[in-house]
Amino acid sequence: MTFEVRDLSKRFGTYAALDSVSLRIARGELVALLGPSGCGKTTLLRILAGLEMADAGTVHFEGADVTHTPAAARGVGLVFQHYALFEHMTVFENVAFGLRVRRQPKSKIVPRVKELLARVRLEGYADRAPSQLSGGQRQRVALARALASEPRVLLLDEPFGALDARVRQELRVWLRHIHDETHVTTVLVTHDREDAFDLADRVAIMNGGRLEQVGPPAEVFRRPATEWVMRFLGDVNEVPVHGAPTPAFGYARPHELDLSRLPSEPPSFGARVRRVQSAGALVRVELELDGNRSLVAEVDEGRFETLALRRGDSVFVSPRHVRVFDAQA
Amino acid sequence: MVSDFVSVPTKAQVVRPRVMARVALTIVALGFLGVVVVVPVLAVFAKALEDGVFAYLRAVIEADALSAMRLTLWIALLVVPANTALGLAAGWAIGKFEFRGKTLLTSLIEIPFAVSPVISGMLFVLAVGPRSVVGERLLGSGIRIIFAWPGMALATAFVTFGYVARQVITAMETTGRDKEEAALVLGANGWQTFWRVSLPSIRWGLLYGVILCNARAMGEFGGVSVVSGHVRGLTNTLPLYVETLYDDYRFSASFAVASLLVFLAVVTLVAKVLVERKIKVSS
Amino acid sequence: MASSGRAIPGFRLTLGFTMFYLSALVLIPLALLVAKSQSKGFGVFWGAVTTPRALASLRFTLFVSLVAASINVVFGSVLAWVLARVSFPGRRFVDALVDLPLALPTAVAGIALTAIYADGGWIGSRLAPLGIHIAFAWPGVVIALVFVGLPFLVRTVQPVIEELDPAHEEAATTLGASPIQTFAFVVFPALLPALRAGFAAAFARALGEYGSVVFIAGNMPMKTEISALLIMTKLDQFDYVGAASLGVVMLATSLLVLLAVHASRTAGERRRAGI
Repeated sequence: MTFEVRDLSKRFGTYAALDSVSLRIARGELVALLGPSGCGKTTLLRILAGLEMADAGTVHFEGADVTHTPAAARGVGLVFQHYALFEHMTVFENVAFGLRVRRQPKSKIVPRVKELLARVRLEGYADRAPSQLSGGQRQRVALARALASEPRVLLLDEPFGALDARVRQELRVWLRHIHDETHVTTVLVTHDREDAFDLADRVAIMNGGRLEQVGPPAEVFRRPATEWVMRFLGDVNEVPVHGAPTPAFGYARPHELDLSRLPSEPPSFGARVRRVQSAGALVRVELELDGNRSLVAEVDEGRFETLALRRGDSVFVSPRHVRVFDAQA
Repeated sequence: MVSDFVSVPTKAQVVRPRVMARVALTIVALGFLGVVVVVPVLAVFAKALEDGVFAYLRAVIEADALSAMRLTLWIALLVVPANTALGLAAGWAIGKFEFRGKTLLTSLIEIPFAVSPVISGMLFVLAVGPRSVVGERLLGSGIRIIFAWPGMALATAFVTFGYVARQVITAMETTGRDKEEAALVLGANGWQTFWRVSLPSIRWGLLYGVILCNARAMGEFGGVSVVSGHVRGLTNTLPLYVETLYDDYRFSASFAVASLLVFLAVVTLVAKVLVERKIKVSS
Repeated sequence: MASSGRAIPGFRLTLGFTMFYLSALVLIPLALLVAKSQSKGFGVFWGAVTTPRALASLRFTLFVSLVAASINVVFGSVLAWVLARVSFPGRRFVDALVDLPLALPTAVAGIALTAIYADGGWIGSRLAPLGIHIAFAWPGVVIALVFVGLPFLVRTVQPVIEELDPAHEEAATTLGASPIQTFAFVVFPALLPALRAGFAAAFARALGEYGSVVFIAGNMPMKTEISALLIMTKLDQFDYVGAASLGVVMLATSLLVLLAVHASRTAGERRRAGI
């Protein structure tokens, strides 16, 4: 059973937010929609939720066409970027809301809410007001609220956007736990590469309303489909490529450049050390090539100590892995 | 070297004239407010009690006074809920949606604020008065709008048209769409969303608007004056009754009834301040 | 993030109701007013508006409204300043008092002011021997209009003063400016838009004011008759076309004033944004 969108397009005035996007999500998967702001990921999420109507294309949940089903009837859970908690209700009432409006009896609501609050580790907070909670706690209430009516799909819109780095990390770990426990199909929108790579089974990278690449994090990182994707996911070096018919350049990551004092055969090439930055487990070495081109290599501490490089030294660079992309049509 | 060109003031030189200026300005400001606002209010009470406390009480419980109170309350009871309904509808449409002509609609709602009360009354004399097409037909069926309370209610509704709408529109815009969307995705329908989520989130702004609308409705004078025909005991609201007594040279009675309206104004101000504080706290 | 917000229900219902109520209560009556004023032709409309009495009333109304709004600008700004910047015992009480003219029925204000400023009243009796008569002359009308216009100006200017960054004034002072220079070159320009808007609001309010004026004015045609009263008189005489014509002119004036302020504000914003 899958959740999928087919050929989804959406414009706002003259601005094309989505351009014929198709994506299939397996049940129980956690998929991250990753991309820069304006790439259409939030629009896609809102169409999945039923808060926006696509101009073209369809949405199918478990085989049924839900393109025109209103949000209230889709069985979706949505966690908003700024939580959208109901400020005049207690934590308990917030979490119970979805069950109350569906007229569930109290006998069902109370234990379910208690169970959820325990799951998000906010047991003692049932009677608090949202204004009395920290950002991370509000986030968890928003999640509990979305999960209360056992949605078929859980959607999260930049869930960690408003939080500071350490809380972010804790919540990431914890969200992955929840997913593993509940097995609910989850779609997560983020612009943060770490969020996506840490949490997702698969990452769907979007740019300008289109899907650039979909795949497990490791694969997308190691085998980017286009130059854009590679650049988006991390630092990139343009390295000269020998013996190839037309493109004279390929792309390699900083940690894929091996450095050596000794020359070796092409594709190895020479460079001069311009700057060394030693901060942490990896050492960044800025290199200069002829023609004012520069590269950045990352070597681990041990290797760097062996090489004992200093500013002005000559080294030889052997790219371990070079990717060449066809020119875009 | 620098002091050759520029004389930098010492702290004492700066502070003393500034303190004096503040004191002077404060005296001017308070004096202005006192003369313009406070003195007239005191005058109302002084004049009301000119003929003694018993005369005051008698004026206030006279039959005509009581019927004026009833009419004032009756009109407020009609007008305030009606304009509140409008305020909520307009607030919802303008605050929660984007559409072409939104700014135009908001400006149109502001129009009655710019219209003189006398003109407001005249509008309805012209529209449904005895010399209009509609008015003639209604008179034929025995329904009198102008020179009776329905016309007064219409004029009052016009004058107080946007008081609630203004506050609710702002409040709805400020709270945004997120919470309503959250409620929808959680399975609520339109009414549930409105009652359980939107209304509570704007309750103080709504109350503020209702308080202002009510005060204005009860105090309305020019518009109802045009429409009422001044029939004592029948078409006098409290403000009109004040005028009637005054024209009859019953000055202390006039001020006595006026003092009731001053009490109403004070209650309004107190309520207003309390709600303003609540609004500040919740934002 | 763009969003059309139509997932939220109730748009058509609320917009429809709003449009219906607005049309029935506001737009159609106003249209009927304009139609009535033109119902006997533009010539009659123009004639009604340009009779000596009508013109005198318009002149008088404009004059007293301008004077009152100007007084409010001067003294009201001082009051707004003091409320925003000076802390003194009872400030919150005083602040609440500013809104009294909004909460008080205009007729009450009218009779109270007449009582005070008539030749036998508290203030009037002190000025009468000096030959100064306030009630039943234009100064009385001005005082009444100052009363009703006060909150409009103070409440427009006060929040702007509250949001002024004191750092600007402190910078000016450390650069050697006297308090007057600081005010003239730093504070006043920043307040100017709010002063303009407050003036316009108080002015527009004064133009249409009736209840507080009609007791103290004396209402002598050609001398102290405000246009609102002239309209009332014409209605009593069943001169509906005349009354409507005068009403249309008054309405147009108020709307023009408010439009002018709005236009100058957006022009000022555009200039400052460098467009």
